Amino acid sequence: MRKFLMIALNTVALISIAAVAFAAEGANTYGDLVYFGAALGMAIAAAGCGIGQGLGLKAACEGTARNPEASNKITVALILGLAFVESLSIYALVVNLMLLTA
Amino acid sequence: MKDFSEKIEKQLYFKGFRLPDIRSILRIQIQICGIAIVAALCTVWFSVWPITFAIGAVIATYSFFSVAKFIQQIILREYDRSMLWGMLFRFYGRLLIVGVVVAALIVKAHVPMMALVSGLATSMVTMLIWMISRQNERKTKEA
Repeated sequence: MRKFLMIALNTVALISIAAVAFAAEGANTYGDLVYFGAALGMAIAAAGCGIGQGLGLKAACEGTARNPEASNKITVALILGLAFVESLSIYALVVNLMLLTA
Repeated sequence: MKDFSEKIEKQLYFKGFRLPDIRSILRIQIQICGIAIVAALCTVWFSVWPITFAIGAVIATYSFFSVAKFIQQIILREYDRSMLWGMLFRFYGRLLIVGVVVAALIVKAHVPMMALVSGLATSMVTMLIWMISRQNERKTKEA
């Protein structure tokens, strides 16, 4: 139940944060800094997601090597984890494109 | 509805999805995507919101489908050089397609962002649904 609550709260937080980006709509008074910010934001998102995916993959490979019988369960967890991480990078792309077009 | 679900799972199995958990997650995602597309086609004359939501759901489904297939191919299949290059090409091709489509939708088409983000978030909803159903199944078995 606690895990479910945590996941649900995180999802709500992610969706509500997107609204903050809308607040910046039409307020492009920072000139080229917006482009810099978008590029920096995408770089940070890509780096974070890359590190996260790498750590997940490393742990999955180690787990499978130690216990090959558990490879199916590990694969399911790995795919779910990678999909979660990758969706975060797509959100970052969307928010950065929003910044660029604002 | 049950037959339809079984048909989807069968097709997924033939596509190479050997793990039942992944098949059931993908089935839920495809069903949500299908419902979103049908709803969008029915309401396309009233608003852009549903069609944007459906496009987001399709992107999320495609992305999840590709990640699941890629990981299963890495772990379950035997390696050879040509297969590895093909997999890498498809993986980066998929990333490129998703990036270009999202950029075109936002920059060129000026679609409603909230609808697109909600459509992309359907994969999260799918995983939540799957986790809840799995917990319920466990509880039923324990009882």
